[in-house]
Amino acid sequence: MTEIKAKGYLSPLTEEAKTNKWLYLKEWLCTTDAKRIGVLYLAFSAVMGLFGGILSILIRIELAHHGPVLFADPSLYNALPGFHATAMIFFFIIPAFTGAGNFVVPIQIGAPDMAFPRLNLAAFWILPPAALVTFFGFFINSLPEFGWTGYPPLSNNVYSGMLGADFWVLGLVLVGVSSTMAAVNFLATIFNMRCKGMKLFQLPLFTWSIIVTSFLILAATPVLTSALLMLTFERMFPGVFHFFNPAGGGDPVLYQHLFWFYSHPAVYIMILPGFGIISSVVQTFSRKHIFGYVLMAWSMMAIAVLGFVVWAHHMYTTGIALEVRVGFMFLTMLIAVPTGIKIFSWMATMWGGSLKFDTPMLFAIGFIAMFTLGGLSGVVLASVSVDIQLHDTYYVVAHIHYVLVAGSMLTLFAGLYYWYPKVSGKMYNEFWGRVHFWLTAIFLNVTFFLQHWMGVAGMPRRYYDYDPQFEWANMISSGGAVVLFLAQLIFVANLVWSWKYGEDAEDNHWYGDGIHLEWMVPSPPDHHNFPEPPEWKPIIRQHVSADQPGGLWHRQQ
Amino acid sequence: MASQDAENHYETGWGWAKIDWVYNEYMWIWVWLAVLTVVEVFIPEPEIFGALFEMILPAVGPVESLTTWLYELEFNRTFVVVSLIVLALVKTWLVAWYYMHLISEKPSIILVACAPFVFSVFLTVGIFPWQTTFGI
Amino acid sequence: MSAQDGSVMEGPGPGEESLGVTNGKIGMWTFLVMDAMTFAGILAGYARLRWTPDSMWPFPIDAFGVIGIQLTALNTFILICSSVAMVHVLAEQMRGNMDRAEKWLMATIGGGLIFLGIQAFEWTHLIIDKFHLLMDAGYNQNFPATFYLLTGFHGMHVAVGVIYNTIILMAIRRGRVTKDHTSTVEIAGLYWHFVDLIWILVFTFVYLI
Repeated sequence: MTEIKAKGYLSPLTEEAKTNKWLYLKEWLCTTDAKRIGVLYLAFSAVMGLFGGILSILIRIELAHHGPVLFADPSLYNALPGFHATAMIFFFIIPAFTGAGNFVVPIQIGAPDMAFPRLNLAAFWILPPAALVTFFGFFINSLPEFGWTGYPPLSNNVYSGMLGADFWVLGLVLVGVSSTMAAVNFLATIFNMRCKGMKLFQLPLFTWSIIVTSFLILAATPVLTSALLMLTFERMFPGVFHFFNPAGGGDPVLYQHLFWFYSHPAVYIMILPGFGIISSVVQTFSRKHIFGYVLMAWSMMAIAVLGFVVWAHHMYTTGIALEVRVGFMFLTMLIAVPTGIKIFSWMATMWGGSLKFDTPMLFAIGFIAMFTLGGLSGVVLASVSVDIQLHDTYYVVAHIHYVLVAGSMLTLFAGLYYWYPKVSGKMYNEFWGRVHFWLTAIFLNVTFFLQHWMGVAGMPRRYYDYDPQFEWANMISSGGAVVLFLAQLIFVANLVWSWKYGEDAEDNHWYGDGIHLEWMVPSPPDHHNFPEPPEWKPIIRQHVSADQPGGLWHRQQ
Repeated sequence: MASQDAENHYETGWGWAKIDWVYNEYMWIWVWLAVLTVVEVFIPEPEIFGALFEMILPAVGPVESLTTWLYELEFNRTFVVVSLIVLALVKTWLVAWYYMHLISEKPSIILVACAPFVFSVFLTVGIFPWQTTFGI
Repeated sequence: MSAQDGSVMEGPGPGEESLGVTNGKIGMWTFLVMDAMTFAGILAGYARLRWTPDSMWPFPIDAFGVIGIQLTALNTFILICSSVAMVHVLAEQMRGNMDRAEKWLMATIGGGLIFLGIQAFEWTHLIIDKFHLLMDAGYNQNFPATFYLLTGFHGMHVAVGVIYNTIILMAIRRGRVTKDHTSTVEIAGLYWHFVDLIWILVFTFVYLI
């Protein structure tokens, strides 16, 4: 038995575990160390991300030609978009950001661990069973075909009587429980366990984004839970509960209201941690402090609050009052303002900076460009009259993928490459990182850009088949999707290979430019992060030019 | 610093007990909650009190006219709805402010406590079936 | 780790910069935010279903009857008493009088149990005697549906609170919660008062308006 040689938090805790890899594994699976739990989260979400990716490839192959390609049975195809979305949203993006937060946040605020370490572990261990429950339909061959939104009446027991639908609903409730537990933990940690000098407006922007995201999770997720509870009652006890059934005095639009009251803030749950990551990456690789720090923090809070009053823009075609729709349109367009503040602040951070184009920075710049496109198509969709035309077409698909793939996923890659030296203590292969970036950036546009056109030309989303005139565009899109998926394998291979064979990383790996506390500890960090409680020398957070005191990297002495 | 004080001076200072309400006010809040509950029941359904008096008081002249009056009393519907919502909010405020002792809590905790209230108002107002010129 | 949490909760204590409260209190308050929003979802759905035009929603007095509302008003009073008993627990604990604290905690638990008992009685009565009459009269079927969802979900919270308080009671008996562990009792109290607070809203919107 070879001895397990690992540094920092990766090293076995007991002497026995050093020689026994099963004990070492048990140590990992039962750990209460936030860093290890963070790695568990990331590993889990990588698996689920690949699963969701495979589902999307199946969808795209089916759509490559018009007519049946892969599935002779349309009902199997019908189930795929919903499960692709469920896997990607609830089991890939959200847990991945939770994992990054688990690893980085306690170190960034100078705390030894999360506030409730065991709750943290419990929150993680709810996820794999939740995934099993959610996707149980795959094992018993009863897949619900109502998409990830699960609108009644399509999702009630008359039209979707299959058992898989009940499992899906239950799984989503479990995910909600897990993410609220993580959010409670994050808030208690960040509010209460900061080191000396780490006032709220000294916090790194990634930590700020986790605060705001946690509030979003706390206030939004339970509303989805109550909607799903009502749906379950209606499915389980037909003839007794009629919350969404007009025949019994119910209202199907009620479900949509409750669902989108969660699911609109959910898109901010999926993007705000990404904003935080980009703020860290951009300032490190520009060798400048983030521009407009205070405004960056406030604009995240503004996005969060506004995010709660715009949900009905997903429901313009459900017949809600025109006055209400116009109000929601106005509020929706208002969100472009804080988002614009963030985009311009990142650009102002880069302006005049000494830019280093390492892989994380490439992803960050790619994100800023692509996300701006996605945000602009969002403003188009926000307009009531335009949306009535574009509703449920591929334009919506293009928009959501520009903000989630080009948004959340690119930020996630930026963050993973950025913190990889810290997490593993090794350096990934820079060349393959760049190859991964360029393939992703190019084929992302190949996949999704034409979908804007398809949507405007009238191709509906979620359908098994389409008009032959869209065939060439769908062919390009499908080809792009396949390459995009294969490019992600490079990423996984690069990180896994480097974990073992990579060069050792330095403590402050990025040219010594990391300024937050995670770069002040060894790579990888020790079990309790800091040997003694650190002290944070406050940074002047206003924008100051280089020649003034507090400008660039100089700290307040 | 409630927690720190509690470690050493649990018998005297307790953070939120620096306003010494806990030793004398909470019974008054209890009385208020009980009284407001009675008022809350009275406003929509005075007849409940008519039935109650009928049950517990002997049927003498003036009492009988009181019960009859209670049976016939009916408030305007808008008044009932508005006053009930206000009373319910006052009662929740009493519980949150005194029993959950937000009164002596840090502003940040008060903000956290107010957040769900604000968001649930957003939610309720947003999904209320408003009647407008162009239908529901 | 702050001493007061030592025997009951594990985990790191507040850092140098904090809100000046225990971690557990922030945890409970943020949990309550989540819980309140769950109720908000159901209550807002109730409001929408009820105030949709021509919803055929019965007035509570027609549905529950005079006795029903009297009984529930009594139930509300019992829950308020239970809530004030919980304040007494904390007050006695702060004075260091654990015997009295234990008695008040038993009163708190008793109040919760009586509440649940009356509610079970009421549910039985409504299921057997009342609601099918309403349905036959053509009232909206969501009236009983939302009623059971709201009161049932709240009743579940009461049951959880009773269990929570019983655990605290056992911890007091075994000496694991002493007069130094005020924050444990305080956090349990926050949950219990929250259950009371939600009942005030449910009572008003389901039984009175």
